[in-house]
Amino acid sequence: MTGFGILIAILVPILGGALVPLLDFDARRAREYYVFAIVLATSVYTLSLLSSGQGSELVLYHLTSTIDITLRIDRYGSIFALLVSVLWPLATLYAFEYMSHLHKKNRFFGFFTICYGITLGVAFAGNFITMYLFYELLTLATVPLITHEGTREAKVAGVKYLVYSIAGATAAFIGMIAILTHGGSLEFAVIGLGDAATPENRRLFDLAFLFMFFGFGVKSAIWPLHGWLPTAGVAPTPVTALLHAVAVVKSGVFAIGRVVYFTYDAGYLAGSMVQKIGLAFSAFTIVYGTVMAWKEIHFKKRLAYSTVSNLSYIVFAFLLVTPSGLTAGLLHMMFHGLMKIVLFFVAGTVMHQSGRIYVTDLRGFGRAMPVSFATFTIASLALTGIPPLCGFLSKYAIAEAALAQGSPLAYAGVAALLVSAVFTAAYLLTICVRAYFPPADFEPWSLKSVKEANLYMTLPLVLLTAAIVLLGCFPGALQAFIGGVVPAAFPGL
Amino acid sequence: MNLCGFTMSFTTAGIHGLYAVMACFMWFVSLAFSLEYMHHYKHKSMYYVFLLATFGATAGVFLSADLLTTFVFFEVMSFTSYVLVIHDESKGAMRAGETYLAVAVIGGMVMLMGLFLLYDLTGTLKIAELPDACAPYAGSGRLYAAAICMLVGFGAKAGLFPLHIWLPKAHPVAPAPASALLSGILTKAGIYGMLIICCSMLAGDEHWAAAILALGAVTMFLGAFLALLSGNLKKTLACSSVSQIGFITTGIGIACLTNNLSEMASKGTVLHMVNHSLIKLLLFSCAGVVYMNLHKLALSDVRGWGRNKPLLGLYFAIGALTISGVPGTSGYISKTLLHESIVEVIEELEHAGESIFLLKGLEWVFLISGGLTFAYMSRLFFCLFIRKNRAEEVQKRYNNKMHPYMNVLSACVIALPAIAMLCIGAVYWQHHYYTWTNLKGSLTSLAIGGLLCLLLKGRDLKELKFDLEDRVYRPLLLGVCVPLLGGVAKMLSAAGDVAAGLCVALMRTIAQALAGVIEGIMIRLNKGLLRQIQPHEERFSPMDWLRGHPIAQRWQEIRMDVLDSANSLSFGLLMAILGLCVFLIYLVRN
Amino acid sequence: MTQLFTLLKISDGLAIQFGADGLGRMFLCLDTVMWILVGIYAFKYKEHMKHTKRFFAFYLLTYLMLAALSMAANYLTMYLCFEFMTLLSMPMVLQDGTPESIAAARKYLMYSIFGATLGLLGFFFSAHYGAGTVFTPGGLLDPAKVAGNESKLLVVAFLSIAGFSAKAGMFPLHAWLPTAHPVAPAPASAVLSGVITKAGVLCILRVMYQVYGASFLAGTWVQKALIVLSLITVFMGSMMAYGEDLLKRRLAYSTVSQVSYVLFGVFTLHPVALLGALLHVIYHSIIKDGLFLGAGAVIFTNHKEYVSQLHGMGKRMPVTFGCFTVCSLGLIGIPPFAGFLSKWYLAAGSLSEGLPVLSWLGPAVLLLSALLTAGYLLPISIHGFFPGEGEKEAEGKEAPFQMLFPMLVLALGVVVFGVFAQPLADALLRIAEAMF
Repeated sequence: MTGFGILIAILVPILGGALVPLLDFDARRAREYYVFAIVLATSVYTLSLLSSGQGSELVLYHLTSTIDITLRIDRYGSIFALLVSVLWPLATLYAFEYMSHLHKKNRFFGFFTICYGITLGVAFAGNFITMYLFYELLTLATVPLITHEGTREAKVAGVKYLVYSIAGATAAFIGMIAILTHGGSLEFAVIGLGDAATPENRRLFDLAFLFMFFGFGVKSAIWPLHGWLPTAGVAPTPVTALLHAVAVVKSGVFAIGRVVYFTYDAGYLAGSMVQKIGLAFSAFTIVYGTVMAWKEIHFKKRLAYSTVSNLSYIVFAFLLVTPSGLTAGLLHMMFHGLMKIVLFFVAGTVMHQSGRIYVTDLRGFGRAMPVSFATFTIASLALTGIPPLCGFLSKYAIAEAALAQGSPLAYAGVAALLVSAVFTAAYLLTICVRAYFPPADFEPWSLKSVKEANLYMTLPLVLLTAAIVLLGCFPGALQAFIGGVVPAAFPGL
Repeated sequence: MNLCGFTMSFTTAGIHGLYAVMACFMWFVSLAFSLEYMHHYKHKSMYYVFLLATFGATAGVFLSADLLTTFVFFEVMSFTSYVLVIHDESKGAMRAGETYLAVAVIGGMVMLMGLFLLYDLTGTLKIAELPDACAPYAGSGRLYAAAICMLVGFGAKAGLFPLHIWLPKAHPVAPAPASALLSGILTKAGIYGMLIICCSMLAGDEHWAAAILALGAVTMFLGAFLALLSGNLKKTLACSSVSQIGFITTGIGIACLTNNLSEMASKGTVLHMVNHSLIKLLLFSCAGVVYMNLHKLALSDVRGWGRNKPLLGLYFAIGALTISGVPGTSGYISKTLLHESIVEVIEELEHAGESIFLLKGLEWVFLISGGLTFAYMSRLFFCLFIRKNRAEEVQKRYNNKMHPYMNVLSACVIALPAIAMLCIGAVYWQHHYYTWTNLKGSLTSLAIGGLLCLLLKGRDLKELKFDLEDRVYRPLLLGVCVPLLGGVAKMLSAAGDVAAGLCVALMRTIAQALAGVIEGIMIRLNKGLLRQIQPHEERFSPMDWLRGHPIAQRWQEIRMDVLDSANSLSFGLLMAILGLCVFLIYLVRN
Repeated sequence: MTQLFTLLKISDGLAIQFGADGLGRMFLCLDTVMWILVGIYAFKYKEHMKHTKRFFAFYLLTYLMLAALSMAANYLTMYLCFEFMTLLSMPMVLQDGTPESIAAARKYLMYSIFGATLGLLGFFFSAHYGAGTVFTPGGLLDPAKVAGNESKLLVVAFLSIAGFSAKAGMFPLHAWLPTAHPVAPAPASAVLSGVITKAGVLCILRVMYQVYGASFLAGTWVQKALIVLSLITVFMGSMMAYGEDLLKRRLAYSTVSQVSYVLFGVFTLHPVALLGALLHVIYHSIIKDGLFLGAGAVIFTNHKEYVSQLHGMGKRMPVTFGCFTVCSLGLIGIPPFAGFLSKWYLAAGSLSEGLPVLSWLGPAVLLLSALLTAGYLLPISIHGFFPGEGEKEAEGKEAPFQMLFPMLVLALGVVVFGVFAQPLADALLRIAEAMF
């Protein structure tokens, strides 16, 4: 039964979402009730699955004797599912208000809800093929969201996103085939390549790893494959916030984690050349993203570059291939989701309430939008890594893991982390400073028309910010939950 | 006593007590004289406050039993006396004050460094313990370093060449009672320190003694020479102070050379210190009387003023004779003692068969300087009290005895040092000081002086244009050191910012360049793809000529709808996803 | 630290803990006294400012963080308080809201955060190689874990100490001081310069003596490099101050130089030098606060900002300039004022520590700097009181009593702590010896 439960969690939002354009709601209220009911139900159901249905499995279809479509709830996927299922209802709530002035709401909410199901599919995929399937679906389902505004710019962004993603997925697919044909297992329940990893095959598997790493690296925005992410910032804010800070990009990171710990394993990767390449690229991206973010003055693009940098924190931690690296990466995955979604939401709120999109235009906003900017400030401090907010904790965990691993590249990563922290402060705190302490010649009446957003927008912000603070102070339960992944990924321990 | 975080100790033994008494005496006289002298000045209360503060500090210096205590009072003394120097606030006074303060502060800091080194080396700064504490380190470089640093500090205050520059500047501009103190006793604070260095720390060290003797010789000759050329009453006296400090230093050098065994040198040094204090008190007070009445100090202006003022003349004459070392005065005794100590050392060396060339030279410098002293003092005396002013009516005014030129109190207190000197001279009126051998030195000096007087009679001497401070120190310090070091500091200061800026700019540039790498390829790729999705709407359409017509509008709407649905990826994607879901359901069914 | 108060235990090895040891108590006392005095002053000075509520809010919040920093019992807590202190003191810098002040605040923020980030690096390593987390005299590193990683830890020690020294204004991270001080309101400059720079010193003390331990760092290249940097700063700060006409910037450069005196003593790793450093922490706080309050009083009452405008001002503002002069003399190190004794101990400690060349170069540089200090401070007093003949004398009036009172107290402190220094020195010596 529980096996089918997984399918229900995936299909309810997909089908429910598909119905939205077909039902063609006219009344805002009706659409909102409907969408929110679906999303909330899915979330509640998923959370109950996570608590009760660990380890349940559903084999949908055997393509061949070795390839099948399987759904399974394991601890690693649960963590991702947890993040997604907590954030989605809040983002939906936010989207109701944000989208109130935009057109084609039905199409938007349809795809928005469909994505939820697909993301859960990625989380619950039991083997590589299944994950690949949902991964591709996610790409397709999000394109209309990016191009939603219908402007030329949006279309360009959509195409760019599509090209990057498909190319990446194809590369990953090639890697997958290579493993499959040489006897490796694609089942996530089987850790490592097993006997297939003979010295003769090693070169091939290394290559396959690189293909998969950079293939999935597109979504997790590893330099030089990150280009789509800032461009996709033209999408409506709920999309950029949820998808491009949480669902899509995290599914890339999630997939890399799957490859590293479940398809390959720590024994294979530790100390190998491919690990070094991966570490080097991610460490570099950490710095690169943060510098670009600092350079950027478009509010959402700045945040997008910040995402580029932060995703690489996670990838970097994963590639340390140690238990502490894995947990640190997952912790940052959770926390970054929380922090970045707050930041994006505030950017969206600002756009929505005042139409300003450049960070230089935000003088005095701290007074005009007190709740939004209070949450923004807290999230900024957290992302900069100031204790006891949650961002500090995950950064500390990553640094600690890197030091314990002790290779030169790991140290370089710590250095990158610190450089990035400085720039993070530079690109986020300057916004706060400008908002709270406008120059002397600033005239408050110029912001007279700018009001704080309503509860639809501020409630998610406040809740998420509370989570940032509370999880920073009391991370015990979450850490324990994440820690549960270690026995699965490191059967030898 | 525990002050300033360490134990301050004081003693009244020997020279400590002697000079404390001396200080009391000198302050008594100058304070009493100040009452009249300062009568018309502004800020009198400030003057008195700092005068008394300086008194306390000076007494502290002399009474201190360890060098740290000395240093504390020494610094206080420098700063409080500074206010006395600039009391007039004239341009010259401010500039002289600047010099005085600079020398004092630099000297103080260097001295402090010396104390650091000494303390680090020996672990004690108690003056009584120093000889024993330093003995194991005799001849070591670190002890020399400490001694040199301390010598700079004390020597600067004493007016030792080449740090004598402040004396000829500061004394003429300060109020006369203050000049008297500066010259009479503050310089002795420096001498006091030099005594400690030479007689406690490095007693018997030949190299050191030689250096001190050389400095002493240069100082005494240079001072006397400058005094002779000076055309300003107080400046002459100031230069004379420099010269006399040289005499004293020579005595200290001899004492150091003989490891404190030469009684004559020690006695002569102390006696000459006392003498010089009294003499300068007397002479500067006389100069003060002149200035008080005329507000002028240039010799050409004050010439002839004292012609009918016998009392002042008498005071001045006593001072002049004593400082010149005319037999019968106390100055004679001290100078003779100093001279004889040199001679004694020469004899000893001759006896031991060593070269005496340098010491012979020293002796002659000593004698010649003595001669110069006589020459410039007699020049002053003649100028003030004998000769007539070149302008007749001025001389007439000077001769006019309308009102008293000083009050009774001043006359009485100025008499005190004169009497004291005479008393000292009388105490030493003993036979063995007046043997031919002893008289010979003095008489040689006087002869040289007399000769010089005759030679220079009636001639106006030009002041030496070469000023060590203006030509060397200031350009070196302000023109070379400050810009050089300032430039270095500026570079260092900017280094942080520049490096940060460069670093950040570099990172920016690199990031920018890297962002372009793949982007460029992708843009090209995109362009191709976009052409597929977005037909050029600018392309000519047959309906264009109908633009604006309802039919054309309708056509356009239809066209856009078609384009929208055909080109809308989203529509296709929705279909695809739905299809996949149907496929999934189908799979589950099976 | 015997008694610890755990505010929040985040996870193993991560806790926000406070404890009061001698060092912390000393800094707390200092912070509190200064905050009260400057606060009294600020009540009057606020007439000169906009957004006074904001100013006082951040003034108090900064104090809160400073107090917490003084009491921080482990590295994490210290880092936390350090960061928040930066963030909360920054609004005081941009109080005026002029473009310059905003740029200065940004510079201040970036330098401090950069430094703090380097400090964070130190935290990562200390957590990894430490036997515990609570600051322990003699260091908290676990010798078993350290073995073989010494060179790595030395690099980290250097970086983290250099990082915290940004707050203390040590070369090459000193540049924020001369930018931030002139634009901040006088009370803010006073506490920034007098107290907050000392927070950097406290962090360095903690890191050097209670994380790595004096014995771990003594004689290593880290110690030498840090000493050289501090001496460069001592010289550079004084020299820059000497050539500066804007009074508050001159004082800021002076702070750069003087705080590095303290750092020099700290880096020397010798109990006597450390005693000198701790004394100088207190002395310099008192003195520099006095000087900045004096400069502020001139600005507030008479709107003069440049040294060259102050000819004869001492006659108009005798009390202000009197206090200023006393503080100046203290800063130069003229006995019996406060400032002499600390320099004495610094030099004595350095000389007996016995590092080649540096042991005597240090005192020499300190004295050169003292000379320059005389050169840049005394002319202000001198021209103030004795403008000299023919100089145009400045017009103006004396500052109100509410501003004079803190200055008088500080000037009195300079005298009292200078003359009756023994109890203080004894107490600090106990603290200094407990650090080894």
